[in-house]
Amino acid sequence: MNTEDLTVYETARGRTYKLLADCYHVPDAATHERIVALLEALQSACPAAAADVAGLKSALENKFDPDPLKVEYAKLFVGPFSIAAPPYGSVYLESPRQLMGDTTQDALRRYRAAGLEIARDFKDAPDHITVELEFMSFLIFKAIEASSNSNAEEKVHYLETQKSFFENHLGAWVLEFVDAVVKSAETAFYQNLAKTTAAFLKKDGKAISAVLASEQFRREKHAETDSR
Amino acid sequence: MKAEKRTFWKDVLDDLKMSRRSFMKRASAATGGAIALGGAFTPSFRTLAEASEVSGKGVGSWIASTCQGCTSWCSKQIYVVNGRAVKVRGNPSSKVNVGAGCPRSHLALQQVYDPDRIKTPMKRTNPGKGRNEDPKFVPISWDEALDTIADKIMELRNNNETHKYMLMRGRYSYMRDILYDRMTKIIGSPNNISHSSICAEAEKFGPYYTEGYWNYRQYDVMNARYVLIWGADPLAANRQVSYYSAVWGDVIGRAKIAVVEPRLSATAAKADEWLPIEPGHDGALAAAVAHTILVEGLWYKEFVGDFSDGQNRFVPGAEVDPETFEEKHTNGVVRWWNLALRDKTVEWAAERTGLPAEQIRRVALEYGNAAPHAISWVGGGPVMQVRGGYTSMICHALNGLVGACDNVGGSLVSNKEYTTEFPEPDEFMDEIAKVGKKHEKIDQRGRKEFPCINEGKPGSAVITNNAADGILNDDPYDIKVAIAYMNNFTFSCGQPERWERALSKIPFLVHITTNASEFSWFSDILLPDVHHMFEKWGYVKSIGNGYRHVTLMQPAIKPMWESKIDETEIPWLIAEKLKERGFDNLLRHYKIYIDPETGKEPNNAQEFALYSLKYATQNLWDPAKYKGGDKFNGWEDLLKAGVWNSDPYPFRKRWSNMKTKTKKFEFYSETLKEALEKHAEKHNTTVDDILETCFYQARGELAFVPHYEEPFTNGDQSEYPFLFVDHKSRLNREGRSANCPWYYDFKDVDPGDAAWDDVAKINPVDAESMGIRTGDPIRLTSPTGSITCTAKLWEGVRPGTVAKCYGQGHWVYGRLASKDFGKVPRGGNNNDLIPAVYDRLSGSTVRHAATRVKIERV
Repeated sequence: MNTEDLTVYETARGRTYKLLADCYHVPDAATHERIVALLEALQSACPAAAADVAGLKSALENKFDPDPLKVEYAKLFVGPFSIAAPPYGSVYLESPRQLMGDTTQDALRRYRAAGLEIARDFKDAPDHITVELEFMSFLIFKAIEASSNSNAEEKVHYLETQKSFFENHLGAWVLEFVDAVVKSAETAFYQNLAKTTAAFLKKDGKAISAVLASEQFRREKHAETDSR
Repeated sequence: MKAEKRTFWKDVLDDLKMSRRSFMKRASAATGGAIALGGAFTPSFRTLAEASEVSGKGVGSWIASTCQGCTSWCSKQIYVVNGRAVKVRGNPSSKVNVGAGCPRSHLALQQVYDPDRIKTPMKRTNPGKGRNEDPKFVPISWDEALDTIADKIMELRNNNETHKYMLMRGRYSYMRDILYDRMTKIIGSPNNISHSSICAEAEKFGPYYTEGYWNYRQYDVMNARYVLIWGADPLAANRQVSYYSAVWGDVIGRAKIAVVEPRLSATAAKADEWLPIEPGHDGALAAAVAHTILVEGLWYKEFVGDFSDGQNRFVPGAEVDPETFEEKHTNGVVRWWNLALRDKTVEWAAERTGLPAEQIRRVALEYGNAAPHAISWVGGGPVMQVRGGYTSMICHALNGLVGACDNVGGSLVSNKEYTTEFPEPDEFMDEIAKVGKKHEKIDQRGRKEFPCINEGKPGSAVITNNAADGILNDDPYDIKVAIAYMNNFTFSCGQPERWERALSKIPFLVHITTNASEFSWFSDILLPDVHHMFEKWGYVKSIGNGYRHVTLMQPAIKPMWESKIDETEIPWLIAEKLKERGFDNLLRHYKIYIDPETGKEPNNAQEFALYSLKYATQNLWDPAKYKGGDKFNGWEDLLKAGVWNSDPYPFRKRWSNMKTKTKKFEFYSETLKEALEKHAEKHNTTVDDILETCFYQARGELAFVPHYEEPFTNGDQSEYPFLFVDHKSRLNREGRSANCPWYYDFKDVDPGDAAWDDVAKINPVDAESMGIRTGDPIRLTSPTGSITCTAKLWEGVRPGTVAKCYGQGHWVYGRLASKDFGKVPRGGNNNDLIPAVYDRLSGSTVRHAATRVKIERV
C-alpha cells in the first residue's frame, strides 16, 4: 500500500473512532450530522460496518428529534436505576462490578504517558467508552502526524501504543459491551450503533496489527537498504 | 499468516478505491472542489485534554473523613492514591472509636464506585406516576434542574401557599439545618420532616422521662461488671460498633453479659446469658428484675437512698409507705414499687416472657449485685413497639435503681462539645414565610391521637411515617412541591405501599441521593448526591468510650460524575436561582455564613460548603475561641486530624442536677406527668383518655411510672401463628449497601444468614412441623403484606417466631439490589409485612412485636 492510501485509511480510522465516541455521548441536535460523517468515514475504514450506519442514518431520517433517544440512552448507559450496558471498562475487566479499578488506573496511566489527562469538563470515569474511543483516535492521528513528519520511530511508537491499548482495554471489553447494548436496546439507532461499533472494532483489531507489521516491514527494508 | 495479512490489505485497498471514488464524487458535488484527504482533520476531543501537570507517582496519603454506614459515625482515614480511594481504616486520633473500624466502612468503597450511582441530574419524561409507570428519566443539566426547582418554589410563593412545600430528610450530617431548617423556613413552610422516628426515637423516651436526656447513651463498658442488653446488638448494629467490637474481648473478661432478644444476635452469640424472650414482653422482665433488686435490697443506696431505719420493706405484694424511705438522687422509688412493681415476681415474669424463672432470678441477682457498675442497655428492639415508650422507661430505669446512671461502669450521656449553630433565619423570613410556617405540619403531630412529646413538649416529635397519610388524605392540606434527600421512605417505613401512593400524588418531587431508589421512582427530578465519606464537606458528632468526638467529612477524592453536596452546595444553587427570580432572602441569608479565617462571604456553592463548615466548627479549631477538649492551631490543623475529642467524661456531675422537673432521676416521672397533662389540656380531655386513644394500657398514676404493658401486635394468632422478628445487619444497619457485591458475598457474617440469599430464620421445631427445609422458597404473609424469601432452619430463633434481617427486597436500587430490575425484588422487604403503627408518645414507627405472620412454601 502506498503512503497516500495508507494515510487515507488511517485518517478514516481516526475519524471513525472519534465519531463513534461522539455517538456515545448524550444525543443532541448534532447527532444526525455525526452519523452522516461516520458513514463517510466508514466507507474507507470499514465498509462492512457502513451498512449498519446506513440503518442508523435511516433511523434518524424524518426530522431528527434527540429527545426520545435520550430515554434509551439513559437506560443503556446512565441509569438512574440500573444501567443495561455500563460503558466502563472496569465493569467488564474486573470483578466485582465496580468503577475506578486497577484497569481504570492503567488506562489513566496510558493517557498520561501520551501527555493527556481527563478534560476538566468531562465528569465521568476515565475508562468510559467515549474516552477510550477518543484515545484511540488521538493515537491514530499522532501516528499520521509522525508519518507526515517522516518520523518513523515515533510512528511505530504510536502504532505500538494503539495495539497495546486496544488489546488491554477497549478491544478487551467492547464486544461484551456491544452485546449488552444489542440485548437491551429497543431503538434502531442504538441497535445499529452497537453493531457498527462491533463490526468496526473487530476489523480494526486486525488493522492495527497489519499497519504495525507493514510499518515495521518498511523500516526493516529501509534499514537493510541503508546497510547496503 | 502472511497470506492473511496480504488479504487484509487487499481488502482495505479495494475498500479505499471504492470509497475514494464515491467520496470524491460526493465531495465535488458538495463543494465543487477537491478535498485534501489525510492530515486535514484535526479532531477536538471532548474527554481528553493535554496534561497540565506532572502526575502523582502512585504514592498515596491518608485523608481523614467520617463513615455514616450506620449511626455510629466513626472517624475514618481514607487511603487515596492518584485521586482514587483504595482503603479505609479507623482514625487513630479519635478517642471515641480508637482507630477501630467495622465492615461497613469498607463497603463504602463499593458505594462510591458503584456504576449504578446517579451520575447527572435527570428529569422524568413520563408524567404518569405509579409502581407500574416507568419514569423514563433523561439526563439534564444542573442548570435546567435548578431552574425547574426554583420555578416551582416561586409558584408557591406567588400563590401564598408556601406551606405546601415539604423537605424530607434521611441520613444527614450536622450541616443539615442549611437545607432542612433554614431553607424550609425562609421559603415559608412548617414541613421539614426528618426520618428520626423511623430510627429509634422511643429509645430516647425512657432516658428523657427518667433522667431528662433525649438522646442515645454511651456505656462505660470497660468498668462495668454486668451488661444487660435489651434488643441492641452493639457488635453488629447499634451505636459505636467499632469501639465496642474493639474492646469487647476485654469487656467479656471483666463483666457478665446478658442479651435479651428473641434471636441469637452477634452480641448474644458471645454473651454469658441469652434470654430469648417472647417478643414484646421486655417490660415484664425489667419489672421482675427491678422487683427482685428491691426485694433483695440490692439497689444502690448512695444513689437511690434507703429506708430511714435501714429495714427493707420491699416485700413481694406489700404496699410501702413512701414516708419511710429517704431518697437521695432519685424521685419516687416507693411510688414506683407500689404502682408497678410490688407483684411483679420472677414467676409472674416467667409466664409472660417465656423465660425460665431461674434464669430471670439469676440475671436479676447478678445484675443487682454488680451495682453500680451494672449497665442496662436499651436498644430499638423492645421499644420500637406500639407501647414501647413505657418499655423504654422501665428498662432504662434499672440504671437508676443500681446507680449506674452517670456513674463509672454505667450508662452515660453526651460530653460537652462546642460547635456553633448556623445563623438564625428569622430576619430573612418575610410575611409570606411567617404565615406559611404557622400551618399545621403534614405529619399531624400534636393531634390528640399523636402526642409525640419530645423533651416534654407535646407535638414536637416527628412522626415520619404518618406524613404519607397526611399527603394521601390532603390532611391538613395537599403538598405540591417536595424535596427529599438521602431517604427512601417507600422502602424504609412500615407499609411502604402507602408512600408509593402518597409520592405519586405530589405534583413535583425532587430526590437528592446517591442511588436511585424506590423513592426516586416517583420523583420528577433526580439530583446526584455526593458520597458522604469521600466527596462531602460536613461534620457529625457522636459519643463513646467516655468521650464525644466531632468528626469531619471532606472531599478526599474529586466527586464522581456531576454529584454535588446535598446539604450545602445544592441549597446554595437553589438560592441563586431564587434570587434570579426576584426572591433573594435565602441567598442573602447564606451569604452571612462567612469564613471565620478570612472574613470573606461565600460567592459560590463550593465556597459556601467549606465556609459553613468552618463557621460551625470554629470553636474547635480557632485557638482564640478555645472552650475545651482537643486544641488545634487553626482550621488546617483540625482538617488534618479530621476529628476533635471532648474532655473525658465527668462522672456523677448530673446527680441531682438532671434536666427533669425534680432534677432527680425520676422513677415517678413528674416530667412525663406534666407533658401528658399539657397534651390532655390542649385537647380538653384527661390523660386517661389520651392514653386510651393512643392504645396504651396505663390509667391513673401508673401512666407516670415505668411499667410493663402487654404488646400490641397485629394479626390473629390462629391465622398468623408466628411473631415476626426484624433485625439489622452488621453490613448495613440501614439500607445503603444493597448494591454492593460484598454485602451479598459476606451476608453470612450475620448469625444465621446466608451469602447471596435473603433468609427467614425458623426454629427447626416449627419448621419440621410444617415440613419446611433449609433452602425452601417460602412466602411470609402478614395482615398488611407478603414477601417471598428462603427458609433457613436455625436454633437461634425462639420457637413461635420467625426472624429476618432488614435490608434486602429492593425492586430497584441497582443491578445487584433487585433480582429483575423494576419487577422482581431480591429477597423481601420486611417493611412490606409491618403495619404503619406507632408508639404515639414518642412518634416512633413500630417495627418490633408489630405483627404476626404465616409461613407457606411456594
